[in-house]
Amino acid sequence: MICGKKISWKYKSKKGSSPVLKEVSFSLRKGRITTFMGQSGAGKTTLLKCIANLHSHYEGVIACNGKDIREFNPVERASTIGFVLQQFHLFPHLSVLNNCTYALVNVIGMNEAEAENRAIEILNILSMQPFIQSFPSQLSGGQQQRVAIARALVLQPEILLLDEPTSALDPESKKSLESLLLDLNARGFTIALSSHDMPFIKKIMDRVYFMEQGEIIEEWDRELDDLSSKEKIKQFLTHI
Amino acid sequence: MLEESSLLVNSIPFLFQGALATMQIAIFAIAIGLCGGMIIGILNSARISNSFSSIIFNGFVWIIRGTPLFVQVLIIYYALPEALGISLSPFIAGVIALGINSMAYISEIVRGGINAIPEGQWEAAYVIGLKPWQILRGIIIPQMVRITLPSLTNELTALIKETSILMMIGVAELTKVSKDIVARELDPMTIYLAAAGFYLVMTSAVSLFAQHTQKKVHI
Repeated sequence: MICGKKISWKYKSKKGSSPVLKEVSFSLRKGRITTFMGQSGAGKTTLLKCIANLHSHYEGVIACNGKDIREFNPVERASTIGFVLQQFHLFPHLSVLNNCTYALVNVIGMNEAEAENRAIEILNILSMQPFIQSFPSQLSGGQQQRVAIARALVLQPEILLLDEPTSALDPESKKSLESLLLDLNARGFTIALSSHDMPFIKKIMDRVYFMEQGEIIEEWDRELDDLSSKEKIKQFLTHI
Repeated sequence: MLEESSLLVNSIPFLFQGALATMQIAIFAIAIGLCGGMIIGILNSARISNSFSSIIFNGFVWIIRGTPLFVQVLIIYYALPEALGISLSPFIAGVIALGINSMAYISEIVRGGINAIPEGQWEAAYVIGLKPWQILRGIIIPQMVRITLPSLTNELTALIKETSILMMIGVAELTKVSKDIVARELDPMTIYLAAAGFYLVMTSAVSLFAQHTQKKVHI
């Protein structure tokens, strides 16, 4: 569904440039949960930002259904790839409902009533309907994340990206996120995420890319591979 | 005491006229300062500026902040018309000088406010498909206003007080009117205290309006 071929990206500063991704190739398959795992600094977030087109000056090609994602217009991009940032970054001046309807009205061109109906439907699935008039500052971390997921899902993207989704969550919220992602996946959503939270990854792992120093050095697919043959992944998972 | 009260009552209409002129100058200068300051501040913010625009805008801010307002007023009233072969009334010259001065300060407030908004807000807006101008209008500017409202209020109240400098080029604003009354009646205490009272009313009105706006914009 989404394929990346030989993606390289360098962090540029006044002192020069340093490679963050080195010829990374991957595929995100429809209806599956793909996890990019590895230590901090392995390049997971950068890779997700390349997929979301937040970094567009990379070498290589990321294509969705055969089309380079850099050629997508904003509407195509938003309705293909939903991205939940690590710190969620809800818009603090908008209510929960308006956070979710803003793009529907201003990007898709939906009327307010239609947008609100769709947002409420998604917020209901995520158990956030009681908070639709609240502002982000009035929500807990787990609730903010659900709203961030809802904000992405209202655009009905083909794939949902989540960057380090558990990094700001308490154990209870993590459990709730696990079941939410598995539930969304069961509903047919394609999900890709980055994480170094091993207990969390163990619960949801379906397809895994193990990254180290900007490279994918091992991959595993629940349907195709035996985990015992994947030394790096096995070692990383047993560290915890 | 009776004499002072009678002087005050007789002077009130004149002081009120002066206060009206002060308010007019302040409103026009604020309009120039806010419009120009917002544009420069946005264009000079970290995510939008480039090295060329940075040099231009930082140079403008450097000159305006580094020179006295009084000198700027004199340049715009006396030197600029001579150089350009035009003539400006004291009122127009004063409004332009105060507006440009305020523009430099407001642009720095706006720039700081925009730079204080986390990078993630731009990214979150981009990934939901908003175009750059939609991100600015709907996501960044409302947050910037929330962040900068206290500083903007300070700037606006300072500007009201700075209008008094325009008496030096003959604008009949509140301080000049007070000075003229004092020169005629020789009672500085009563008249200047009354003028101070008028200034307090005007600056307090701005502060109250800002407080009301802060509550409205959910700070």
